[in-house]
Amino acid sequence: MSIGHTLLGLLEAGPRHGYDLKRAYDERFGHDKPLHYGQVYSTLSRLLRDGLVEVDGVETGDGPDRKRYAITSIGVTDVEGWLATPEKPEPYLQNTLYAKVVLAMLSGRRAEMVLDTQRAAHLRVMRQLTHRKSKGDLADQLICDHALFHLEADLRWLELTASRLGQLAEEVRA
Amino acid sequence: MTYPGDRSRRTLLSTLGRWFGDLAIGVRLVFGGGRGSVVRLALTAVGVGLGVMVLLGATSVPHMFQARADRDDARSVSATIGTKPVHGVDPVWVAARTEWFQHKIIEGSLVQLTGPNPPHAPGVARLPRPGEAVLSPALANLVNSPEGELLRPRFSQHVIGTIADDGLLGPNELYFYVGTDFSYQDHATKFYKFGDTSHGRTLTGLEWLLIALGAATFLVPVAVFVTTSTRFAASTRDRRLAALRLIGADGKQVRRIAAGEAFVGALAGLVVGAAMFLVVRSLVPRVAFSVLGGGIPAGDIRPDWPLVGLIAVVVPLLAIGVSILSLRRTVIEPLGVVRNAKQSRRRLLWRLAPVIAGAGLLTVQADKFSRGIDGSGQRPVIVGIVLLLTSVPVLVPWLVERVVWRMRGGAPSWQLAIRRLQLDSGSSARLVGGVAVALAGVIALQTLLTVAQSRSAPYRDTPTTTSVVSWYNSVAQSERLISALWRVPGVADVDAEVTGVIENEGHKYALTKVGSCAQLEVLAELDRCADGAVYYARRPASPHTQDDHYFVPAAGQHVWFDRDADRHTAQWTIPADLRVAGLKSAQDSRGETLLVTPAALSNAVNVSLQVNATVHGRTDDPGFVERVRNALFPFGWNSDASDSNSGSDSTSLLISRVLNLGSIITLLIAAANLTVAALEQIRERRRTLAILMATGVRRAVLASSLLWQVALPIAVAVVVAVAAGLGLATLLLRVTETPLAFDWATVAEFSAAGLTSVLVVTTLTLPSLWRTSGAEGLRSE
Amino acid sequence: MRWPPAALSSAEAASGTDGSAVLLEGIELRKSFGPTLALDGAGLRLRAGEVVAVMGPSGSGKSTLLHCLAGILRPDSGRVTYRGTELTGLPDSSLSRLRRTEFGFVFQFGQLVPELTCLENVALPLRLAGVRRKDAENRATEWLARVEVGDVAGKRPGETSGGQEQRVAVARALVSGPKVVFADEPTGALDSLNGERVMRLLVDASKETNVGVLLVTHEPRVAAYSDREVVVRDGISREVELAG
Repeated sequence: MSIGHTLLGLLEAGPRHGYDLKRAYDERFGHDKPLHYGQVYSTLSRLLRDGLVEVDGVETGDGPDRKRYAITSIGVTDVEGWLATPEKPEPYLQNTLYAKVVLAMLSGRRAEMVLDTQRAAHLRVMRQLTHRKSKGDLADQLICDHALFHLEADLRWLELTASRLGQLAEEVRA
Repeated sequence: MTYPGDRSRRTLLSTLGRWFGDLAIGVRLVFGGGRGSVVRLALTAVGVGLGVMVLLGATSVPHMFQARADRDDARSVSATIGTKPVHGVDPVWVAARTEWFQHKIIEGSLVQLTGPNPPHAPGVARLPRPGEAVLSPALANLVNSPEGELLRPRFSQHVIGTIADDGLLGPNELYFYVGTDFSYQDHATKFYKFGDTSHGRTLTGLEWLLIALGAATFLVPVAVFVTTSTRFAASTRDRRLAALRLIGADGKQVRRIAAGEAFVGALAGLVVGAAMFLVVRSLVPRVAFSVLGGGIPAGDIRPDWPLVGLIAVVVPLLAIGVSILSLRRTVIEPLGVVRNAKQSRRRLLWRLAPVIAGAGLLTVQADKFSRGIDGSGQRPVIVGIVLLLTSVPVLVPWLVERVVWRMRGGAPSWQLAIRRLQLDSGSSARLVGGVAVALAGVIALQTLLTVAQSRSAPYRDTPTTTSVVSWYNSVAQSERLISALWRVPGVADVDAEVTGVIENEGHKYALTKVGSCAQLEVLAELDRCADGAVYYARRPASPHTQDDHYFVPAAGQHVWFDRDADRHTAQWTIPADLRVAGLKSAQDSRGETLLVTPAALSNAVNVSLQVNATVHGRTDDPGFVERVRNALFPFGWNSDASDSNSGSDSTSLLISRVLNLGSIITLLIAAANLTVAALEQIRERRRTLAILMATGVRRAVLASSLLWQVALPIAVAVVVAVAAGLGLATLLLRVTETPLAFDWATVAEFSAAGLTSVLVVTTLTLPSLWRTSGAEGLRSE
Repeated sequence: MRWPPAALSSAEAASGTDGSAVLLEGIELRKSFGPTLALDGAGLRLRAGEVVAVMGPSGSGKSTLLHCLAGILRPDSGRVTYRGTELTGLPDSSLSRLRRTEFGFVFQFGQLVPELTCLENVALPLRLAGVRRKDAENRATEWLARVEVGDVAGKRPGETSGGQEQRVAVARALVSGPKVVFADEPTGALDSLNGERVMRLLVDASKETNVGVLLVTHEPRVAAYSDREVVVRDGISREVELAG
């Protein structure tokens, strides 16, 4: 995910301090991985350099968190362009899981074990997400669903692979 | 370059092509649906097949009767054809003879050859000489079997052969030719030739009605069976058709596709029906032992080909028509079937139309028809019967709907059944329509039959009382016969009288009663009676008898016993001392009566006397009558003994047997159809049933819900059927101006049979219910 | 009559009635249909208040396992025990009574009697248990409200949406107060949103009433509502324990 574009998008609602930005980001998008301060400020300075944001004002006080940032018109155009550009679908062709399955078979191990263990791990995460979804608000639900659908896709692939393990084994050993 | 005509022809061709394409898709769908659709096809085929079988059977009936009549004619003797001398043929004396054994009729001829070249009797290699016999295979078996023990004394002749099939009405007929020397040839005639032209008597109006009603009772249910069968699995079909709509078929195409499916079902039904017909045909000789006196040979059952062609066309057309009509109520949308959630309730008005039209026709015909059956009244009467019978399956759905309309659930099984009927009373009502119409026809038939039988069956005796009628040519022989009756084991009393008929030269007649003084004194006041005396008892004047048939016997008058005897030489002369006696009772006076003591006949020749005896037995043994018959046998083939109405008119007997048999067959087929339809309903609801079973619903609940579901419509159907049957009988009897008499016992019997069929059908479908409602049924299609 | 019969109450006492007691257990179940081997030594345990997902590819024997555990099918060999009583030897009538009083069922579709109204459908298990109609329908009304479909009470199943129908089915499965609910692809015919709603209602209601749920599904997102999963493959069931 492009942090720069996300921060720009958040600034569209109105000027904010860097710390506010980090909190807003974490609240909406950073459930699993909160941003580091450094990451926020390095991104903001890059945006400043490119003219996508400007310093709206500086307040007195301690610490580095005194600048308030606002989006520029170039920045708005940039956000629009980003939203209009489709994300490149990621084909996951060099998936670790696939490698594990093939290696397990090449070494004569039971590939089903790899699959089942992975399914158990996936389901454990999915249970947590489902649980969180039932407690959370709509935004939470949407995010959880996104993750759930991806995990489900993995699992579906696992099921499909599981049902074709015999065929795969023949090809791998050939 | 194309011309307008050319183009339209091409459009027509392509339209036809599209239609055939649609039909072909329908055909393909039937075979492409895997096991489920094969089962569906099989059920439809069996349902339609049952109807086709009946239809094929019905077309075979005329040939069957014709073939029987032909064989019957070929072995009969005719006074007009057979008595003309034929060059090179030595005539044979023939007397027809009917024997009875345990209520079985045994017919045959007594023959006496006059030379080495007798006429040929069909199926007989050589006619028997005195002391010989030719028996039908069935009679030979019966005589030799243990249960033929009491018959054996009568057929102890030397058997020189059996009668071949062409000399018998049916393979199991009991028939014989016995050689004899007619010591008493009153009943025998000299024939040069066997064979007669058709001698069937014309039917009475009532009999004709019986036949017409019987045919309608057979055929109207068949139409109902065929239409119900082609509507099997309508909802599954609708779902399939919805899927076709989804991929772009339009409403008309869907209808054509449905027609294609129905067509396949009907074709399969034709094939199955033909196969069933062939099987039944080959089974008939084995099953129908004694039906129609001797069973039915398979060769006699031959369908009428033009009618078969008609069936082959009409049945598929009917199927297609019904399947398209049944789509009228449902709108098949791409995303499923819209069965108008609030179904329009059935309207009564048009359903009453057939009743009103039918009843009207029969009422209007009433006075026309009573004058005879050759008039123009026949066709309207048939139409009236068919209309009234058709109204039964038309009215039943409406009535079932009305009955369940406001019902609310009681016990769960009842609730399940009621709700099911409320949502879709149509399929259940159609299901019982066949039973109802068969029942209505049968009830009407039985009512008519009761009236017809009460006309031809005037009396009934208790089994141990045997009436004997014998003809003999001497008083001494008559007395020996009476004393033989007294010696029959188990006899309690013999009430006998010896009578004779004498004629004067003018063929007028008088009755004689022969007996001892003691016997005659019971009848009249006799003055100075001694053996040899003759009295004249004047018959009391009666306005009911025609006096000009009788003559008043006078002393010294010449009289004859034999109607055809030469009137120049007297057979008896009434003695000179004829006295007058007063009859004690007016009861038994059928004519001018001469009371004769035996010695008075000593100078008579060719005496012909009749012994009428009632033999009372002491036991309930049904073999008693056979012992009486065997006691009579040594006196020759001149006696008849009967213990009941065994000698009723053969035509009405035939009609009543055919109709009784037909009633039973129709009801059986109706029940078979009901079973097939019920099985089909279970199949269609199998998922619901399986889930109810899975959730632990008791089997008893499911079974009784199924029972209610059939029983309620059947109860309604029986009510309608009884009303329609009795109404129809009333109208028909009015047509023939016959007094009305309902045989409530029979009505109750057949209604009970209809209701019982519910239980039987439900029981028969239970195994299928358990099978479909097992875990297999939980699998989604 | 409530389950277990009086004779079994001591066994019940011995096994304890707390939530962790094993309610239902299948051991070494084998079942074949003709030449096809559907179960080849499968088994699982279900505790009170627990949701167990049975997963696996289609044709793996998931549904057969459920049918055997629910007493709908008799396994060829192996044992099924419910609260300490072995089911495999019980006569059909006892199994029916067990299913009626102790178990509830939710299937993929078509489980409601199409002729009865939704209310009557929910009341049906109570009526079959001999509850008076008035009382049965009152309780059914409560349950319909609880699964948020109070408005379809008077409609027939055919007149409702698929989601509503499944929620009515959940109400019907729970109305008689069962100890175990068997759910065979309960969301299979629904879209994601309706499927999730049905699953949440089912799981929440079961947790509240301490009911064990056996959930057969091939959808991981549905399985994620479970507490743990059992995988069936080629008629063999396996539970995967993750370290840590």
